[in-house]
Amino acid sequence: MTKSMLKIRNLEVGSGQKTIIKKINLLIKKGEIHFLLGPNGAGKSTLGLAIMGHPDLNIKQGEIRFKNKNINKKTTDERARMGIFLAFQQPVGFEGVKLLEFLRTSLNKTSLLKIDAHTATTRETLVSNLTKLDMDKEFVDRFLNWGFSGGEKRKSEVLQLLILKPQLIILDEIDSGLDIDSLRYVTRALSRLKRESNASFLVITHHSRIAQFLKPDFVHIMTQGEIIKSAGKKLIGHIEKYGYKNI
Amino acid sequence: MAIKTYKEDYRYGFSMPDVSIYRTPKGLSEKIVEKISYLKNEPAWMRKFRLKSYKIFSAKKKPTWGVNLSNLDFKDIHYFVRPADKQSNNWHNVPKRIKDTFDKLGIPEAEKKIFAGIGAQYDSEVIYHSLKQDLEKKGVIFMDTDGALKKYPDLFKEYFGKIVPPGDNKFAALNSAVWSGGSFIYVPKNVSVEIPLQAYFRINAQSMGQFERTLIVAEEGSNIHYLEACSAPLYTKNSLHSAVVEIYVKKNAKVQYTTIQNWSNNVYNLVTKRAFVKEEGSMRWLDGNIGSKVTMKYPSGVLQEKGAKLEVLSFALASKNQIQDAGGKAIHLAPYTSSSIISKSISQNGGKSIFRALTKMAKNAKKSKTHMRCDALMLDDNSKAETFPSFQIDENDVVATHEATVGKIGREQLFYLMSRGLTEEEATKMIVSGFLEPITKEIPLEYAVELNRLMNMEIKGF
Repeated sequence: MTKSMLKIRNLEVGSGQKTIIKKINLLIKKGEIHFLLGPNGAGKSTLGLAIMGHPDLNIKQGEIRFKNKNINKKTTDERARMGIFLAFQQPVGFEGVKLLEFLRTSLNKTSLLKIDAHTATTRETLVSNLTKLDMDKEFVDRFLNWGFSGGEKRKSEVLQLLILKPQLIILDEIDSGLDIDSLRYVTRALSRLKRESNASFLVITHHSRIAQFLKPDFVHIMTQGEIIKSAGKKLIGHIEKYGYKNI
Repeated sequence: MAIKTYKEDYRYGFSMPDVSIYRTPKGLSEKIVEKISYLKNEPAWMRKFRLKSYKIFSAKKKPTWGVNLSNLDFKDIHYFVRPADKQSNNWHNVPKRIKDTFDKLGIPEAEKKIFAGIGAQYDSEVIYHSLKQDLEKKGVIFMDTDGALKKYPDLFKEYFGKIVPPGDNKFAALNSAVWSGGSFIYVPKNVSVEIPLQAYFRINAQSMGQFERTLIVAEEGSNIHYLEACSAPLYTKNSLHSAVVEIYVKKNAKVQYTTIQNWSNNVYNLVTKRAFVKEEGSMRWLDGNIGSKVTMKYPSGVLQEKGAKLEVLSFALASKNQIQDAGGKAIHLAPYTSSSIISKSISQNGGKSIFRALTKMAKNAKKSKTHMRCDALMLDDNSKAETFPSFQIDENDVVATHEATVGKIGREQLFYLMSRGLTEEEATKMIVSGFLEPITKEIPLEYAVELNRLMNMEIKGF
């Protein structure tokens, strides 16, 4: 039996009095790629943030289980150290924090293997990963997300993934703002990572273009805080033709 | 997470039994001023200078424009505490208890590793001094200020008390009356001192006032980096540290003065620091304030000739029961001069940081430039930050720019780093160290490492 990676049961999430996500169920097994599609404002990003444990969100009902453990009460950093990674759509910038220094610290904290972050994150390994993403090697010495263009921000998130090798990867609109060449580099690197580590993916997007490069096993449609349909990858073609309205 | 207070973590707060061989009784009078001069066996002009300064000190009121100093009791302080009967240039000859103190602070080790010369002051006087031989041969002078008055009387008299005269402010007057110790540095023409010189100031006695006086003369085309650090035991009674620093930066000379101030938080730290900068000379103050109860300090530069340059890089950490009132001052008197005052302050656990800076540009300071930037970061809701930037510009043909940010640590920044596995405390430290990066990158590596360690110790979860 394939192992359960993420299991969301009857989940209701809100911020303050407001309910944003309503009674969602979702099961992602090891090595599966799930797409979460839907129009803007459907609550897709909120679901990603809720899985990561954003402090402004509260779980009103239901549960989030990661590798068969209830993580409702786990803090964000605990979830990260368990192996969950959220690639942000708009990552915040950090003036003065060098990318290399940040990656070493993060790897030290999250790695499940007993590896020495300094040898695992040498300048060379970082540069080789940068090359995979068609990024300039001077990135190593830049400040984290500071003054990055939209495309550079997405790539920097993917770079972190390649180094940290998490088990559940949530990609929030990773394709937005990427030109077609960059998208190809990014998805190629992600596919390779998937082959090597058998990680699970939750790909949040309102654009089905990324499906040409990263093949989904399941597709879920979310509107107004609810998952209204789940099916195989054929659902994407349907959405492309008819939109979200007539499902 | 429990809040650890600053006090619990101040690892320099140990005290040694009193070893002083003489101290004046508490309080200040003409008699005590004369006694200090007598004990130091000074020339008559210095005795007169001290007595005149004492009169000015007595006549001036405490300043009221800044931090409230009404709890500072001038009568409850020893103004002179002599630690040993003589100075040494060999650590073995330093009295054991004093040497143990400096061992604990890592001073002899630091000397071997990273400095070209070192001075160590314990209470009122310098007890140890050394300078690398090659620098001595080049004519560099690095010694305690008392010693310089005796050994180089003419040189001393030419420069002493001219940049910061006793009438400058009440605390400059006080220092001028009772000054003792400090560093005297003379760098001859075109001599470049590549490795920093360091001085360490330690207060050991209780209810003590330390009034060192530092004088640096950098002749034309010379280059020097001087670094000072300080600490004190934690006592329930207040101590006072009131230094005066005067620096001459001559034509094409370059001086950097770095301070890592880490007094215990029963110390009032009220210091006057000023440089005169001549043609194409360059002065840089790197002023770090981590300790003390109250600090008021605004390193300044008077840009007297064409092309003179001033940089003030200031950082402050205000923790529980601390007020850090710091910044800088730039006076442009000539064309093509430039200045920048950059401040980064952090307040936490109820601490208060105040940025105070002034740039003046005189009528003929054409084509001059000035830039002021202050960033204040508050780590919790109990802490405060204030900023008082000001400009007085009498010349039209200048460029003056100003930026300021005051904010709390960003929730989204914390969330981002925590989503990468860092705890809230680790995330805070990373944000703070990034915030300070423009300053720490200007400090010698070994010191920056030490500084980061110090900051990491002080910044706790909340």
